[in-house]
Amino acid sequence: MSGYLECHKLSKAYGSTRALSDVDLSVGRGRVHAVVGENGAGKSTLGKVIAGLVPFDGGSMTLAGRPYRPASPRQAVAAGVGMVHQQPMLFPSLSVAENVVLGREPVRGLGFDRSRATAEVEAVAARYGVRIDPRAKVADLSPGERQRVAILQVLHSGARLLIFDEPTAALAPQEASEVLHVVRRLAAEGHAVVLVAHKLDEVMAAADEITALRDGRNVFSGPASTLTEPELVKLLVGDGPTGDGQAFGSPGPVMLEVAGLHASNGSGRAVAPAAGSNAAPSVGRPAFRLGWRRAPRPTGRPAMRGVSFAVRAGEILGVVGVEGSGQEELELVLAGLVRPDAGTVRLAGEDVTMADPRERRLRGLVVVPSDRRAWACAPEASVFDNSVSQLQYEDPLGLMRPAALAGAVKRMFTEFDVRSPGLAVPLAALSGGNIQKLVLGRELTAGWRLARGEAIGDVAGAVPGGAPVAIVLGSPTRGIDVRGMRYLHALIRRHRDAGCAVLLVSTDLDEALALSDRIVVLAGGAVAATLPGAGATTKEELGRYMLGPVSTPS
Amino acid sequence: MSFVGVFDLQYLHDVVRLSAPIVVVALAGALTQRAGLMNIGLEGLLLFGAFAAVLGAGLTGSLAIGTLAAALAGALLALAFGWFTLRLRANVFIVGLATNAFSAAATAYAAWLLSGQEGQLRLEGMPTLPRLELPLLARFEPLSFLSGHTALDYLAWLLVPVVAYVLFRSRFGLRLRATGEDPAAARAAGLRVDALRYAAIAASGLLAGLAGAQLSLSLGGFVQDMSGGRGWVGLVAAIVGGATAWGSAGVALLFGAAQGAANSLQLSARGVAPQLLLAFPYVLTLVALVGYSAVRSRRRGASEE
Amino acid sequence: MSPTALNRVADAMGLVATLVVSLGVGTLLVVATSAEPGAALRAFFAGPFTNAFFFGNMLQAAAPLIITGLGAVLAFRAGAVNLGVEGQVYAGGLAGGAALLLAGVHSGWFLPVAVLVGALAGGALAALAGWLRVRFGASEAITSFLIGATVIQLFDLALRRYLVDPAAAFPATRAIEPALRLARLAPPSNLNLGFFVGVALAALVFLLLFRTRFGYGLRLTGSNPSFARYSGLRTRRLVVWAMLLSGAFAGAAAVLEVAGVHGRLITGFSNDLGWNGITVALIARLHPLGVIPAALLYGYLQVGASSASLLSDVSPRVATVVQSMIFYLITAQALYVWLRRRLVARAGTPPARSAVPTSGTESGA
Repeated sequence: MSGYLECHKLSKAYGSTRALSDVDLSVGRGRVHAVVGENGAGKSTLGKVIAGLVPFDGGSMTLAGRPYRPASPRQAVAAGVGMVHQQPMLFPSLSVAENVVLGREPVRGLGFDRSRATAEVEAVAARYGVRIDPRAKVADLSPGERQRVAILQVLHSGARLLIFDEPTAALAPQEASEVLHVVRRLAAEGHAVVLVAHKLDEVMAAADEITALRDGRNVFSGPASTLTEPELVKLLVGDGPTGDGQAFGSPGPVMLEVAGLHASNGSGRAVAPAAGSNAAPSVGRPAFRLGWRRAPRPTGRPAMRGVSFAVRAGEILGVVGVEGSGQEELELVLAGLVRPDAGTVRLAGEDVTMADPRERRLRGLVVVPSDRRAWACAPEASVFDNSVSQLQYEDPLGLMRPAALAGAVKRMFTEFDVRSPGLAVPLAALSGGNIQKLVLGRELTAGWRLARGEAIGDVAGAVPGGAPVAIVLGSPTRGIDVRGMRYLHALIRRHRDAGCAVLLVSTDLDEALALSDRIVVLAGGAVAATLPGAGATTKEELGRYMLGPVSTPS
Repeated sequence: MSFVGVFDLQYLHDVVRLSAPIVVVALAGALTQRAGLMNIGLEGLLLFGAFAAVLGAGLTGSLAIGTLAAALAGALLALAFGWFTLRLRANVFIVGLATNAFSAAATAYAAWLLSGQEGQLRLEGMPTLPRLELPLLARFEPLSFLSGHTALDYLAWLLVPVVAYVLFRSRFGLRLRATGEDPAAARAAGLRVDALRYAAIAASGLLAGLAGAQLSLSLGGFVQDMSGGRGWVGLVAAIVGGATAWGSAGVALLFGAAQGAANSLQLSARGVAPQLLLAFPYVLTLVALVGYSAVRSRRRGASEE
Repeated sequence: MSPTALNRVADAMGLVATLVVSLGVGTLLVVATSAEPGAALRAFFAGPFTNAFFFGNMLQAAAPLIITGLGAVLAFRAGAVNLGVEGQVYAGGLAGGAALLLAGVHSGWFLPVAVLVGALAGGALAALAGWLRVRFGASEAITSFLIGATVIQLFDLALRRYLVDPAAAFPATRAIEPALRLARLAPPSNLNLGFFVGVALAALVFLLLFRTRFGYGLRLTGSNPSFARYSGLRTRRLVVWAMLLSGAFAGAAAVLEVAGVHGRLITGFSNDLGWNGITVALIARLHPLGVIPAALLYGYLQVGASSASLLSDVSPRVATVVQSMIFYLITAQALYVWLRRRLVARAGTPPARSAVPTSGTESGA
């Protein structure tokens, strides 16, 4: 017990959910300590607690032998602790050097010393073998390059303990291995590294020690060498791996087909549900929100350039790619939220390129975009208001009858296993899994006549009339706990087996490989390859295509 | 040559004079825009400063103290604005409106208390800002319009490079811009986000107060609603100017030029209603804002929503 | 208590705290400036209830504020910041007033027509700002204000140059003929049918917002316009409609004020009906029925101050100072959050994440 960082019986609860229960962790200098667990196991929370982003409720920490209880990231940084986030928190309008030195800027006289900042960043980058141009604008960088900037940020702060929160989640395997290489190098230089991860092969490759969490508790702690990957899987999941047997049906006719889709950059800008002023985001949020704000979104990324593919009835087609390869635009074009510059979308043979979102649903095309918070719900509105966005169309007089609607919503909740403390509470009071089930339930039943009490069916059995012809799901299990994930995977498979065409857009390669019958790889806004699904393709093969023939502009 | 008749040196002189307070307010707006806050309360801050200047100068007979009082009053009310938005998490629009409402009500009420008159305050022995001739420029005919302004008018233009330096060359500016761009990321980077914002807000209040002093100390008294929409015009100048110091000042100058043209028009063509003159800055600002928004949305290649 | 009930109690307590502080400031101002503070305070606080004149005036002062407040509720609920309500009031007053004065119709049926004319004028202005928002992305908060400020000057111009009655002591038109005015229900006070129109409209707006698809779409657009669009709603149209209705309420309120209280067009007739309507809407937390008590509070303050100035030596401006204090405090979200936390802690229930969102910038995750 003489690690650089020692965590002793850490506990943290969010409301009634316990994210961490009596978690121990010991990280030594020069070591990479991986924290693994399924989504929702508490591994990210642990990282945030150490980095001072989240206060802990119980337990204690020591850093270099002294008590350590950071009240803010600032204090954590002062103590020599830095965190590299999964999605780096950077300032696109500033240069790499400015991003890295922010908070510790060199000054000359009264002013900011830009040339010294550049030199400092070059020096740190050279020392740890990070390739980056300090003068480049962050807006122009690829996800992998942004990840490097985030690492430089932490290194420049003089951190001796570095926490990586799933640093490779959004990267292609080749970019990922580069990041892992840097991680190893940091340890070799004498840093202590906490690697929060869920890709077990990476963990086995990069970690010296492993701590495994399940439901917020330690289930294993020890050297990586004492454990094999299958053993680790068993520890994490408890009762066997998630992948249940796939029933490959024979795919039917083409149900969803896109041809030659082009979409210009930034066309899918969401008006985010944030309180905001019009030009400048506001700080305060009123009980009611005023004004619209544009969702922050990376600029300078490629959009779609001639995307074509077809999904057959009874088939799951996976779409993978490095984040920002055009997936977001694809989802929004299919949802009818962005008009493509060129190309067509056909549903069961009919052209729906110009159909509005409601018409698409009525024709049986259901789309749930990856960015659920921005597009598919209003977190601060009530559960009721979030549940009736499709049901409301059913009243012929244009009225809202609360009792009838509430009955229909409750039936939908039963059908899709949505657990909510009530209909009047804000949606944000629900867990991510329940929100996702609510959203899916709402959209999958959009063509039903729930409010009129007609056609209530069992999704598992014969899907009733008005069931979707095609379903497009964006990262359906991102940020959802294991139980919710299993439910959703089963739901997706049931729909596939019932004859739906399913398009699964995912950044999680494991999920895409496990569920898909075929996989389309997007790179730089174009289809780089179409590969067979589970078993027939490896992640490395996918990765090769994800980086694409087109090199990222910088 | 009738063109020259209207747009002569007197006109250029007017432009410099009329733009000066708008420039200062625009700089104030640029500071808060960069902090990620749209400060609708500039109008009220300006009015508050104008009143404080009269009070300060009137009670002490010193223009310097009047100016100082204006800057201080503007900064103090701005800090209240900041406290409500940052600490009490009130909506920034609404607090801005409340600031305007409070400023209008409080100054009118105080003026009534002090003078017994509705809507104005003139104090015995209060000095007005003298016009200063710049020895070299005054004699050089083509540029003589730059001379003969008040000290605060000159200060307005000197503030432009100062604010430009602060925003884009100083450490504070870098941090402020980062904060405005993404407060959460700025906090994660270890910046004192609220302190930075308070500083920007206080500075913007100070500038707005100065602009108020320019108005009331030139006039030699306080008149109800004497801000006359300059807070709004300045805010739009900051938005249209891209929240940079030179951009905001440039747009403010354009607004001043248009206002000067309208003024000359009224002098030369009889019968132009004073109400139209009062409405003019609003119409102009509206057109500028809509034009700017249209160009920006087209450049981004996407329509709003 | 359920979380919802706790929230309501916390809201109520926050409102009481706001009132106590604001009225405290008012009391201080009166005490500090009056030669006879006792009498002045009595007149200020009790005045509105001492006789039928003041009481009727209080109800009447609330009437147009209920209507402009409802207008503000409609826009804000759709996420559109209508800061041009004041200008929309003047536009409505001018259009409706001119119709009453100049149309040459002499019977009472024309009054509702004039109200409609005023509503259209106010609605058109607001809709223009809404359209500029959805078409060009220009901040409707600023454009609506700028349009409104322009129109206020144009109102003054039209009044002084074209409509003025030369015989009047101040810029005003001639009187509207009695048949076209709203009858006083409790003379000598100003109370007329307008108050009941306001109450009825509040009920209508409630039904519109919470019992119709249109109202649902409007609220959803305000909660998250992207979600609304994803759900198939025509959000651009909804925003323009919300602004149009918002301005129409302001315009209608103006005509009722002109035909019911002033009996003619005068300069500055609005007396901040628009701005105060926005505040009233915010005090009501954008609930249409809450607008009624909120407007009554404003009416109470106004009449209290005017009674204090009639019966004692206090400026009626005290009311505006107190009102602006309320405006400030009502926006202080943290006050309500804090109260809610205290209540929840005392009730010992786990904190349901509050209906009032905490600032997005505060959540680090």
